[in-house]
Amino acid sequence: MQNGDPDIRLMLAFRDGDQAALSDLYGKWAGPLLRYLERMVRERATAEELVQETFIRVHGARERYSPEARFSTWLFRIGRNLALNELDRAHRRMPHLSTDRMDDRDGKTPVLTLVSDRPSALSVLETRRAVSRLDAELSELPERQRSALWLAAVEGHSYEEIAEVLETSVASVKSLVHRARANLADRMVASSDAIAEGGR
Amino acid sequence: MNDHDDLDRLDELLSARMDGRLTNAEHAELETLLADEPLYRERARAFEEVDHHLEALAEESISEERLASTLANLRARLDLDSADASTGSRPSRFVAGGLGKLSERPAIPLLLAAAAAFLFYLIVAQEPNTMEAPAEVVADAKDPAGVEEFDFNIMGSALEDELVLVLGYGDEMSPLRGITSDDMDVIEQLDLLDFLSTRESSVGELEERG
Repeated sequence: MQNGDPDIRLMLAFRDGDQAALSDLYGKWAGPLLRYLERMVRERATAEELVQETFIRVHGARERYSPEARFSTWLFRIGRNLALNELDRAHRRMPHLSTDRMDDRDGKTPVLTLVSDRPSALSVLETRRAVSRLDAELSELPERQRSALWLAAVEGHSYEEIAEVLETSVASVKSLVHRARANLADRMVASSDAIAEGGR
Repeated sequence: MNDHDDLDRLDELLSARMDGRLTNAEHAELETLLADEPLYRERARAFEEVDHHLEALAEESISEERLASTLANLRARLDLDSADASTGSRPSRFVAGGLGKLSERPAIPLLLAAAAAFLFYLIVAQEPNTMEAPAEVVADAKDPAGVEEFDFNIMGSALEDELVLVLGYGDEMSPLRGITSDDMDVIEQLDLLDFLSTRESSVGELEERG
């Protein structure tokens, strides 16, 4: 598996002194990592710092790097561990704060870019609301469920890879993902019902 | 198997199907469940909707500018770390919430000003015998209430927060004073803790003599 991973070849090139290889890795993975870390810490600036710090760790580990898993698995594991440390620090600093909302969007970038074939305005609005609700509900899930589902459903990681990121078993990942989906489905149905009730 | 077990099994199969993890036998089992029960089909739609919305969430725009800005900060930090390594000083450390360059941190000018004023205060404006011993506070450093016992003849002054911070309360105290633990890293970088620790010892010795 490792030999077929072009990212590993890039990382090995970086280890051997090719500085541009790190930029290539950044170009490929900074976006997905940032999205994932934002879901973890719910704060844009912190997520950006964590992306930087993750790549700094990659940079620092280059000389002792040996490919034992996919590069992205290694990268996300570093990022997740840093995010967990940060969440722990934030919790100790301000235990009363909820981390359920990102509130510092710049107001310029659209929160969502929906891919669609000319849907109606109402349809777009409903979808956006539903996605926003899902985002909020996602933040309420236990971190491991949230991570497992995000990495599986969004990033397309295999259960085996997620098991490496979360440092757990494949069976546990399967359970985490299915419970995350079930929880979200329950919450989305409940919130839809509540909205319908409110509209009457 | 009761209904709860059925539903749990259904959820497991639905999730596995969405991730392409179903065996042939499980696929057949799922088809049977879905064929038999309309509510299960509704559940399947709810699962699909979750993934559909997750995909929409993943389409969230992350602008090129944002990634480029993060990359620029990363490069600056790597350069900084390289410089630190070559001079043998401490590498810069990650501080969530925006360490970046020291000059970009809003608390830095305040802390530098506070440190300068504090040095002035220690050297010029303060007679040693007018100081209250900080020993009680230090001994009770884990107790936030210890702050109330802290009398440094400057209570309420602009320096109070910084002094409370640098005298070693750390994370537990910082929320009370509006100074985050991140600022402790700056204090450490300025080596003020060592200086203040030495100063405290000197004050203690002076008081014992007096």
